Amino acid sequence: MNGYRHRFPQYGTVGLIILLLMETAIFCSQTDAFPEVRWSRITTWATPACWWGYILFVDAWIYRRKGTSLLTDRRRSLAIQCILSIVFWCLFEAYNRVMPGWRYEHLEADLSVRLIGYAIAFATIMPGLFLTCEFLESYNLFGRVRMPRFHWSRAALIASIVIGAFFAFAPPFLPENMRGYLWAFVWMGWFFLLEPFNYWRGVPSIYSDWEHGDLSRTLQLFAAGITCGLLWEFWNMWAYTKWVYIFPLGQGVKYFEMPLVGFLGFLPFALEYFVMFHFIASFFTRDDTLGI
Amino acid sequence: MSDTIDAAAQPSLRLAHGAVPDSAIVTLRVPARDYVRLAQGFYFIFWGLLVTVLTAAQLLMPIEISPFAELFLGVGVLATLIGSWRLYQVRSLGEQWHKRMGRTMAVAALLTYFCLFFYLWRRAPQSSYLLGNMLAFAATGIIYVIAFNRVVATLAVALGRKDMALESRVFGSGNIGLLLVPFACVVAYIIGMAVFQRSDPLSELRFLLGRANLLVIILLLLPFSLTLSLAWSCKDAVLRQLSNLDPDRL
Repeated sequence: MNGYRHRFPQYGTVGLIILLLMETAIFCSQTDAFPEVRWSRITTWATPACWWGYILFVDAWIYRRKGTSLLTDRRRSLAIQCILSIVFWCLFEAYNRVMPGWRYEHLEADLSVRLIGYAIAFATIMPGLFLTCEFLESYNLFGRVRMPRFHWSRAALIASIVIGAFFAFAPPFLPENMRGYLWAFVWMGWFFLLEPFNYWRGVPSIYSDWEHGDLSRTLQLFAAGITCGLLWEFWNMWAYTKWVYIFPLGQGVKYFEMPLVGFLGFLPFALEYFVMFHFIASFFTRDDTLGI
Repeated sequence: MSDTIDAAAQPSLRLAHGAVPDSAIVTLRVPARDYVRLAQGFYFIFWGLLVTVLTAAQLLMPIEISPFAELFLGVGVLATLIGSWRLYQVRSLGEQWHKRMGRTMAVAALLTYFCLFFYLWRRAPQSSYLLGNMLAFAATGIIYVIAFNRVVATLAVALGRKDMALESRVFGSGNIGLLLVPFACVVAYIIGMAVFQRSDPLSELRFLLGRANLLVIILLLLPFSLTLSLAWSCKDAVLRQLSNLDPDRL
């Protein structure tokens, strides 16, 4: 008896194999093994391949634990997550053009292939993040973490919107030499801006959780953000097509390519994606389809 | 007191695709709150579209404009989104209305999304990525106007306004022929020049804007301005229906 009542779906094994194969390719590219093989042609696709492998594997693991998962029961939600993931990341890419925070290296020369690569890679952000969160939730991590209850006043929520609007929209308007330091604003702005609307509209909301003294979902999202951040940077480091950070803050101490201070950004980023997803998805369905 | 305003003397209308009733004006059989939503929706869309186009046109010209004035673009787009949302809330005009309005609201949401790119493009006009998204903003705006005409056609049928139904179809076609098609040609030209001649997309766009004749621009924008007048007419028609009702039944 292993304690799990559900079988491990086959696609999870496929995901694990994809991951292992890509890791092997990355290892070979770094050690000059089989020099006749052009490893860079394979490791160009490291980020999307690793992340789709990870998504398959983690989803299968969640199914094994809970008997339900995104790929088995909520494929429509997965499709919405993939689309919104691309849409939201395109927005952050637009910020990146105005206030450079990162740049890509060794991108495919062929524009059509590059666009497909972008889409496949960007589509993994939201499912990867939310599945990690659901995975942590399935172990009831932080399930008992509570805080004092309180009530959100209307003034506080309006203040949140005003602060959020300032954080989200002001950085591109500020002088060019200041913009690079203001990424923290962008990662928090959309959360503060949209969360009061989610709270008022009665859709899954972090503010509502806090009001009821429940910190579990917040901490799960923080943990998912950090976990995904570590994996993003880990799989990015030796990939041929990769990103490097160029924002001017804390470039001295780094974890792989990411300045250590930049890791703090993954905390609000996870909350922000959660809030943005529910803000948009709630116009189409009121089912809590995330599982977190 | 009933929330529903019914037609005592005149027949109520069931919407049928493309069918325009013979009677001159038909009283809608809709709840009172839907009249408010309709009036607010058309009002917001009229002013929203007007402010959006005026500000966007100013922002495209190579003149300095203060960040405060720039904000009006966002205000206009948000007003359009709110107006669309108010119209989407009206469910009593039938399935076709709701479906068309749902699509129109989705386009309005996209317009709001791409509006952010427009602002960012102003800060980094040389970025092809942002330029592409700015063009997507313009395309979404044109599609919104076309979709809005289809919504108006549905309402006109419901009101028994043959004239308005015809106008909305003509203006919708005009928007396709005079706005969407030329715009698609411009985008195709810019992409073609960028791919085959390796030219800078922004320079190409500036070149085309610089060569644009004022009279041609006015002609191209004619169906758009007529669509705005249609939005105003719709608001008036809805208000007229409201004011013609027996106050006791409100």
